[in-house]
Amino acid sequence: MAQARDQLHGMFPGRAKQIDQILSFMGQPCSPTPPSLLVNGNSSVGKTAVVKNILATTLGHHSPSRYAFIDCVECHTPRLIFEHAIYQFRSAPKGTRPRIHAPPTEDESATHPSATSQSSGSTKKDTRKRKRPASSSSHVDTSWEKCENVNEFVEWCRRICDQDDIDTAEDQEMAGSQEQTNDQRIKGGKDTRYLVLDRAERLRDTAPTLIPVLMRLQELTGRNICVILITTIVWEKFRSKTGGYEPIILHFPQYSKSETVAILERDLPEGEDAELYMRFVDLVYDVFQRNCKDLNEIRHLVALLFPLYVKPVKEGKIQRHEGLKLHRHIQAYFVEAMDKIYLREISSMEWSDRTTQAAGGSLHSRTDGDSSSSRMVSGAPGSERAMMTAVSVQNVFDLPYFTKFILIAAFLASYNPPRLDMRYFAKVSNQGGKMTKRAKVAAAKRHGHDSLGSKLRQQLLGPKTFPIERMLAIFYSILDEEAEETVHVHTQIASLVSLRLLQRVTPMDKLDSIKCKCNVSYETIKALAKSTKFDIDKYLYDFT
Amino acid sequence: MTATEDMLTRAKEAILGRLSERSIPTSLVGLQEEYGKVVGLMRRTITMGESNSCLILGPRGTGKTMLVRHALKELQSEFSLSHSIADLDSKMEVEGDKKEFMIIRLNGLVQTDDRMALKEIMRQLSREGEAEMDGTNTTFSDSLPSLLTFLKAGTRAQYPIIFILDEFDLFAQHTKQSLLYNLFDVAQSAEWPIAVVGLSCRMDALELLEKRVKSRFSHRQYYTFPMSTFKEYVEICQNAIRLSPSDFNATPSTMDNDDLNMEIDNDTRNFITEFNRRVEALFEDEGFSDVVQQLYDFMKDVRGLYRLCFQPVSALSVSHPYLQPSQFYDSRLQQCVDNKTELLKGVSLLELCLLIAIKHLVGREIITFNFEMVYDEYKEFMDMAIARGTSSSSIGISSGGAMLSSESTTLRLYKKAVALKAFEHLVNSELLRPADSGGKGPKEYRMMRVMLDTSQISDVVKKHRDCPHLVAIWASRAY
Repeated sequence: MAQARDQLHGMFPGRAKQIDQILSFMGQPCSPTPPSLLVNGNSSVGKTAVVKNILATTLGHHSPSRYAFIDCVECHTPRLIFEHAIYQFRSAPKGTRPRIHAPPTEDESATHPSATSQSSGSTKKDTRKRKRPASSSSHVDTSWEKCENVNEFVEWCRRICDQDDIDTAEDQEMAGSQEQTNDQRIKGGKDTRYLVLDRAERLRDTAPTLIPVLMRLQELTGRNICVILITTIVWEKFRSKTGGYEPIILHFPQYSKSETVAILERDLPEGEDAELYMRFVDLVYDVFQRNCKDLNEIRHLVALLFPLYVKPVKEGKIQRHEGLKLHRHIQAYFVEAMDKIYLREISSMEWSDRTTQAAGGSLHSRTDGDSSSSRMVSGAPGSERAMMTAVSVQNVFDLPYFTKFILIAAFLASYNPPRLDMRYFAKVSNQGGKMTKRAKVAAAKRHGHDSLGSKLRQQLLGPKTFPIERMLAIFYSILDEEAEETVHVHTQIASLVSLRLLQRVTPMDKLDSIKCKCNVSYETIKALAKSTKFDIDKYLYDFT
Repeated sequence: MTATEDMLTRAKEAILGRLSERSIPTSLVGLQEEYGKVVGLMRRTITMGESNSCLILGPRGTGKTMLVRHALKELQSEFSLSHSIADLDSKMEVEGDKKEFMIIRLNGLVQTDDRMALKEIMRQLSREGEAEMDGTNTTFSDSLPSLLTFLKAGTRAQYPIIFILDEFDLFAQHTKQSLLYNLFDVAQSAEWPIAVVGLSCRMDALELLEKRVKSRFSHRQYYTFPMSTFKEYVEICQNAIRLSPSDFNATPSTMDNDDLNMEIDNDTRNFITEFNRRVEALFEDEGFSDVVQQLYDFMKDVRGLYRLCFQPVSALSVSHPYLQPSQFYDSRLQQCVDNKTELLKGVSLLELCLLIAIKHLVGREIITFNFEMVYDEYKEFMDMAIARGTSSSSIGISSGGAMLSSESTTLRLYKKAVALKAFEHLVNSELLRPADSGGKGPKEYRMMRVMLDTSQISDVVKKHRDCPHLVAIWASRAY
């Protein structure tokens, strides 16, 4: 036990307290446990890994597994959860070799199928069979058992827990006298079973009664079963309307800086300078922790960026101890990494390919000797970025000329208040024509900055729906040349809707008075307007 | 005075068993009257063949299930020990090791419809009574009477059956309430001695019954309430974590033996005395009784204290064989803290900034908001901060978004996409919730509500590990 504890402490820096707590709750293999535990904490603080490893190191050697580990994303219905749990409980834990002779219980439970899953008639037969000693021992592999509802699962749990010493079976009064069997179990040393449900927040979507049942599975089965829920959200979100048994809550706090660094220290690439690496880890943590504390993200970034960091050192351009120089060298990559890698705009593979290419290119040009090294190092990601935006612009905005104007008109219709259409788009210049920028700012001052601090302006509220006729009117107004026939315009509108750039809010079977919404962001429309040389800012009301 | 490993293991097992509600507490506190009534009712069913039905209602954690378990245990020991006693009711023929009554336990959470409940009844009956049943009847209304008649034919004597219906209110939600109807009907027509005991935490459970079902119910209702005095609360808790000689008995099933104390050697007895003395001292400890008092004032829930006790008890070891008040402080801190605040302590500065922006929006009575609004608020602050930063100290904040390490005042305006990712993290941890169900439109504009109190946000700002001064000032600014 102590050995396992030390081993686990070594495996998880900064989680010693949590490990000790879980281990003390588990106690001896057969000692009573809390009915349910809830492990919560932010993402990537080692919740799953700690629980899994504790169970594997302390109970991994038992052959019909003492624990079942279920991911609620994978098992999204009660039935899947039950069947997976039963299967795992009945087979050897993953990663360990099954014992050579299957325990007698395996045959036992294999020979009599779930009594309750049959029609009530077969109940009798099964119970008869139960009393007969299992004669056939042909089944060594555990079969997949059907279990459709909670009732059967509870029955299965009882059976699973009684597996090991079924030969001393006085399990006839199982359901009848729980207290007696309780005592017998403690005496007989029946071990605790653990049912771990990872990402348990998904359980709420499955069945309303499932969580209360799991919380008191120990009471319902009368067996020593401990349910462990692992989740990122707080327990309050799990409570059902009628309440129920509350679990013991174990909170995993976020790693501190020293703990994060200690974890990252293990990732030291082979053959690299430890001191240099640690300095880099420190730097990355300081830079990224402000917006991202996720250990996995930081690990990912360190792994990707470290080769770039040591590159000039290896090439002999910068000395190891010149921390500031190295810092300046890597900084440009940091900004880049934040945009591209952290947001997953490109895959890390793609990114590392590109950066090595770019770095290679700059190296070449350096040998040619036509520019200074410092400019190139920072210039490489810059040109990279230019290339990227060009690519994305081309992908999205390769629309026909008039269609671009339709989209712009839709954007204006979505964000401008209709009452100002007259002022913006009327061709007759009775009131001084289109608003000048100055007048617009003044108008914004008048209307927008009210008591709500301009937080309810349309730019922030998002697109409004508009009738298609209004959009067409704006379209003809902003278009300088004569427009095509309307049938083409309508085809284009339909195609924009199918591209989801416009969103139709009225049902498809309604043909007149169609209403739409513009689904395009301000940045996109700005780039689009620029490509058609249309000054959209002149027409937008209350935008910043 | 030393405690051996064996003694400790037993002590821990006994206490943990009580804390996890697997074994029954040693004594009833404040429920004697109800207990007497329930036991009497069941006993009459067993001895006189009288059919009864009753409901036990009470909030969660007030001892409904415990009461019934106690009663059943007493009856079981009474009637299974009385094999040799001849003057039993004449109806009850003692056959071998069979019990004189049967218990059918159903739980509304598990048996979610009547069909399932019936199957479970059959299963438990066949296990207990070893009755032969043919399951040809598939409809519910057919099979219950046939079940009963068949049982009657098969065993010569009528076995009293005690039905325990836990989460009774859920049974009342089954279609047509046919299970309840049939059970109550059998109970009322006095053709089969059964007792139906329903347990529910819904005080209006009776109102859920249909008229025809209600009219067959005896309208006996017993209530369990949370203990009325603090003394009782303390007594219950003390009972749970105190040791008694029977906890050390090698064979717990013979608990009723009179010569029980003889089996325990002196060392163990000393250990028990010492342990109990410490437990009493624990309740006299000022800090601990504060903890208990607070729990009592908040919820009167025994389980709350049980949860608190779990950790200290499971941490007992040979080197620390007794409960220490300080252990409970830790445990209390862990169980009673506001978990949302705990969760928030681990968020990044950017997420914290977004939360503060949300706080300001809510302060201006913009209850539902979207990402764009939050970002706008955040940006306003950052613009201001950066402007001030560049004017006061040129190193503090670099305007171009470039970073300076190891400077505690570095603030940086993050791009919208980065902020959106942080925002979505908040949504994922369900601190923000969509205000309307429709998932239409770009996600930046989806309206959200915050699931935190503004005071919780200010609290987090205070507790957050690396929150710059400027942000803290921003957070405390009032509107």
